[in-house]
Amino acid sequence: MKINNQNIDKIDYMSASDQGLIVSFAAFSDADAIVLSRRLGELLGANPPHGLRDVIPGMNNLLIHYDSLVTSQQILTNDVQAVMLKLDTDASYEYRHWRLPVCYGGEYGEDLPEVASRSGLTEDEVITRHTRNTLTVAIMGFLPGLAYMKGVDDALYLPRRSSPRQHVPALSLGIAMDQTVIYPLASPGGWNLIGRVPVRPFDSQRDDPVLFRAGDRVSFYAIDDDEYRRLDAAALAGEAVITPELIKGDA
Amino acid sequence: MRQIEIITAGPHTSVQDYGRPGHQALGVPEGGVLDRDSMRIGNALVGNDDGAAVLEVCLGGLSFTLGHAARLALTGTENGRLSIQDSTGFQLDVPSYRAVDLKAGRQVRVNMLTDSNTAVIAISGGINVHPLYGSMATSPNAMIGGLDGRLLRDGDRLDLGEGIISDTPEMQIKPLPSVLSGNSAPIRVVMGPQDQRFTDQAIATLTSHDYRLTPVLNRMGMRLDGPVLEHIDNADIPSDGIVTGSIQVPGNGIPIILLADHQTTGGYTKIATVISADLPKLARLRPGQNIRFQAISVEEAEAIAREHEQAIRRQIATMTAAPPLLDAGALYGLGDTT
Repeated sequence: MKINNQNIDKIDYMSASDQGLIVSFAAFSDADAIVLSRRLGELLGANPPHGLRDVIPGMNNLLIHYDSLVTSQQILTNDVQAVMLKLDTDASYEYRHWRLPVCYGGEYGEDLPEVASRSGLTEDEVITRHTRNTLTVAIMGFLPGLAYMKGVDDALYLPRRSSPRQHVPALSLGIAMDQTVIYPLASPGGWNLIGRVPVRPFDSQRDDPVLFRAGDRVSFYAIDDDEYRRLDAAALAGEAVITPELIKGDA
Repeated sequence: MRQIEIITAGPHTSVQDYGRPGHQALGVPEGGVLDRDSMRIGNALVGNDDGAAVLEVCLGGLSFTLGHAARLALTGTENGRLSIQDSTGFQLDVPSYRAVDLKAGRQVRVNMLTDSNTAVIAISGGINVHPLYGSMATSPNAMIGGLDGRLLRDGDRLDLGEGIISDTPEMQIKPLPSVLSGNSAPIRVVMGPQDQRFTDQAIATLTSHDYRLTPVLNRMGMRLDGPVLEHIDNADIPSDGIVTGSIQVPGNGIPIILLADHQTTGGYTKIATVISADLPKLARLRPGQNIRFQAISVEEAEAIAREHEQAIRRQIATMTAAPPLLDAGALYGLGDTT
């Protein structure tokens, strides 16, 4: 879809004091809103209006941080509106597809048995369902490098745990709702842990510390303990154990 | 050695600077010093660039040894002191907002703060640790910046940047009146972005009742205690970006003000947002203190931000030579001079 003179009035503008302008696409479909938010962020990032400090895509809006000493929300709103008609979610688009190895279950995925029983599936069926879909990184957030990957199989739809864990080990793979996350760091967290991944979504020693970007595609394949340890050791030694495939396609 | 060695780190001391804006789309918090005004004034006092890395001391209780001669200043507290001790045990107290030149080997202590929750110690040359995305600021929850992404510990050694003690006299600056601990002016907010998700009564309550600061307070946020703010339906929104000063209200109706190390995105309604000029004031509030919110427009908030910037610049321009410290060592022949 495109932003045009018929639908441009559905875009809403909100304030986060003198620090942020929020451009909301909540009146569009969920799927369009997320892509519109991201695309607007890319458009503004490539050609920053005066006083722009940062852009943060959300699930249905874009937060634009600005410097009120050099611009104003009124001027910034005009700057943003000037590029709005360039927004086109259908434009051909290059994206990265990550195929990530996961060691499912056991000590690495202690919630796998519970996820299986609550979904009425065997553990193997959970793994099959989780590796079947290609997910899309909707937004980043919570921790440096944490990607919210949407598109998990409906059969695995579960809420977050009612009482979050105080300590989730780094590189844990969790599922909740239609999403998957990989914890880049040890942290508290409430997602259902079903495996662990031998790649580091965040590594401050890397030239580019953050692995994933919103818009990336991600799919998973199962590996065993031995393969996990081999890849983990390689990753620890600084090797890029997984490189994404670059795909030209539609959004 | 061009270093300081931490003797006692205190409960919550960290390396801070302006933070690392521009990477929140990757989940990297902006972070940075809670009280920017005090960092700027401190750096001006010791002859540093505006944003040189400083020590942010929450609650107090820090002591360290200087590995080489440096000029230091404590800001963000009016009655806090830098207590200086030499090798003979002789002690000298230096008031805040006053620079002091110290020789190598001096021990510097900041006792528990009594008038402010955080204070800043600026040291000539600035703290020098490995930068990430151009900033040395520590965000402990994200485990980035500072020393290994954590708060300082006893025994840590911190490198200092190249700094020379200029031959200018030790200088002093008056604190900004707007942040003085006696100043009970309301915290100004702009309503929204999700104020329409709250009842009319909740909106009225936010700006007409006192809220008390609870001890649940860290660099990510401060939880308040006071009348519950009722949602029209529920507290959940599709996750979106957050600015420092957002007043987030989860399902229990109890507001939390998000501070510099807040997560980059969140899924709770935000009833209002503190204006940028009042963020340093938040850093100084202490648990148990009451605050009152006042709603203003975006245009007013922007005008206040510009006035506030002018006020800090004017304040820094009033920097003058400080009167001499009483030097008991010289008077009584004890110890050696600072």
